[in-house]
Amino acid sequence: MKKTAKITLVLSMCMMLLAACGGKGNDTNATPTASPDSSETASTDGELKGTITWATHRTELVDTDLKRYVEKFEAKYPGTTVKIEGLKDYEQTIRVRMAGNELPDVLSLVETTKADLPTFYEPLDDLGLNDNIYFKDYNSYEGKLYGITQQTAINGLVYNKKAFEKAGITAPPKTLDELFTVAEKLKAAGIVPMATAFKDGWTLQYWTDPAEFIYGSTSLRNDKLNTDTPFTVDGPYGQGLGILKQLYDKGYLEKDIYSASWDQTQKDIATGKTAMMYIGNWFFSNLIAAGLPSEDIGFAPLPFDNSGQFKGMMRNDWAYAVSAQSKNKPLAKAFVKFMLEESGDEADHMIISPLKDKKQDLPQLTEFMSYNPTMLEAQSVDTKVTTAENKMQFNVFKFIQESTVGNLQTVFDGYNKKWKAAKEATK
Amino acid sequence: MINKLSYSKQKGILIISFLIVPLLLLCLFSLYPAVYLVYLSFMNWDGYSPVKTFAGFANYKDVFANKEIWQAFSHNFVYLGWGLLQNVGGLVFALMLNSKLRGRNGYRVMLFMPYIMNGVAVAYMFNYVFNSEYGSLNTLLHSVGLDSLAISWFGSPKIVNHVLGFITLWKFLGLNMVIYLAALQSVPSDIIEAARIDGASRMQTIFHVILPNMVRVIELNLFLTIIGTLEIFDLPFLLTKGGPLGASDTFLTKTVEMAFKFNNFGMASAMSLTLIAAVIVILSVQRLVTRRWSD
Repeated sequence: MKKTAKITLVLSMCMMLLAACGGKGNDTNATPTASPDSSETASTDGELKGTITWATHRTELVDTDLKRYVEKFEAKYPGTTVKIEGLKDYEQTIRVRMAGNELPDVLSLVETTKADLPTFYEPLDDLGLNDNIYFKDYNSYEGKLYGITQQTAINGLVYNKKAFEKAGITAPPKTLDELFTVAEKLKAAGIVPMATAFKDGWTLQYWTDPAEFIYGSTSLRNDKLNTDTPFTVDGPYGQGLGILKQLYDKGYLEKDIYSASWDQTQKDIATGKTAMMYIGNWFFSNLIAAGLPSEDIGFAPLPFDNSGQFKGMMRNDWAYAVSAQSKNKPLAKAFVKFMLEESGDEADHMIISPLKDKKQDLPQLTEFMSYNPTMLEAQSVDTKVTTAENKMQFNVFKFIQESTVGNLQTVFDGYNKKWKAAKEATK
Repeated sequence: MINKLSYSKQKGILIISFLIVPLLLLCLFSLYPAVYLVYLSFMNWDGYSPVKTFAGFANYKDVFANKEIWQAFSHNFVYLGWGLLQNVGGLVFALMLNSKLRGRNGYRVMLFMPYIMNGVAVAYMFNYVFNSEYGSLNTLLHSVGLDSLAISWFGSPKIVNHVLGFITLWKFLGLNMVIYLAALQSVPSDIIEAARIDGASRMQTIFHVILPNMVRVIELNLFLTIIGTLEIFDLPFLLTKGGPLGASDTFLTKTVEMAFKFNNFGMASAMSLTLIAAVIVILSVQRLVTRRWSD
């Protein structure tokens, strides 16, 4: 009798506590995505009202430019509120929320398998932009569009004109041999020829472009599926990454590449201590912020052989997406459309709009185009490829780092072996 | 109603009702996640999709078959070496500062200060000190003509773990010292006096009277050090990102990479549990050794 009384007491108190917790839990579930009132006021047709949350990876601009765009949007549609949420560790944070089904209304699309796109994201076909955007296929599934890239980036050789002048160089290199002559001249003038920000790794990812130029197509990564030995020394990967390797072997990269960080690289190119870097056009605004005037920034295609033919790479960036769980989809979509068409983002940050009919008049891009490069568009990666790559724990940054400083044959052999095993395991 | 119950019953009710909240919190925030971790380690899961498939022991097999993971784990032992040195250092400083040294409180504060500092701030500070081109250490070495010693500290695969180990020593030495100091002050002064009267030298007093009296505390400090070094994460993550070429990866940076870069939460969970097992094994060895020593 005594015991049962005690147990009942304990149980009932537990229940009370649990109930209290549960109640709270339900409330908080709703708040991060949208404030409760937004659902009621949202779909009174045509009228845009309510509140949405916009999560972005561009944390450095949250309190300045992005806030300005939001104010502009709110002024255009009175009665609306957009809460900006800058996430420092963007991808990891969003993935956790994905698992918890708590995505913000508007966000930068985090990649999933293609078949999972409709689970997390809302189709954006009704924005009427389908025929006017670059990289439409990148985030599409079964004919529906789930993400629109926030910018189009062209990768090329960014160079400091003043540094070239100081070394007596009049024009950027037109062939691979010229690239090495230019580098030699720069080195002789006491300037570091090519920046890599090797330590941080991610800046190296663009160096797979030459491999795709040589291959002639951006399907190089996907075509790995057809072979057990995708990495060969005399194949595209060997030749393409070989350019970076030769630069390293001849001492044309930073003196201590293991300490070369992204922060320092920007300063060094701005001051002319370092002359070149192979990177996207979005880098201009960083250089200007670091004190290099726009007229001193040059931009040219990277020569990958001695033919005098040029190729350029267009890559997509993070994409705007609307959460499938959003309580105020019309407003979220209107905001995406506004950001693409009216915010002025591309002019402010010297980037290329994903909208095909927006004209660009940056002198650097005019210079780049004057070489008549054949432009290649990056392709979305096959889910099978990413699954196998994850299985073999393929880190492309580390792969490029290892091939640059190590013996190509040995490094490639190791990766081929892992690739073959992973491909078979994930079939 | 309660007043009618006997005293012991009242006591029982009181104890239970006070215990419910902490027990519930414990279950919710500690036991449930731990059980969930074990569950995940037997699953294939990419971290976000609603589907988890059963993997059996495949994740554990992969962990043990993966050479890179164990190579990374061997780096943890470099930290352990520095951790032991840190305990010796902490003990020496504690003995010194336990005597009637002039300004000892100032020294104590100075030695303890690094421990109070934020880990990220420490990382950035040492990033500046050890930078190969702009760093203060290399500038100093160049200015005194020791150019050959001014190497790339974070860039040399053989050195980088020792540099990071040194930073952990710098940061945690103060904590060890304070704990040792507290233990030293609790050693009864009459037995030390007795030893002195019997003609023991200072060294003899330390080794035969003071240290045997603080075995428990030495054990505690070693326990903290071993756990800390096997689970080291923040310094390599912030300073080198595991570089150059994985030379400073530790077991935990690998685990985080597995979960968040390669979206393999099943294997990452299996790695975490493997680490827990490794910690238990190493701690048992440590206990065995200290037991034997104290007997």
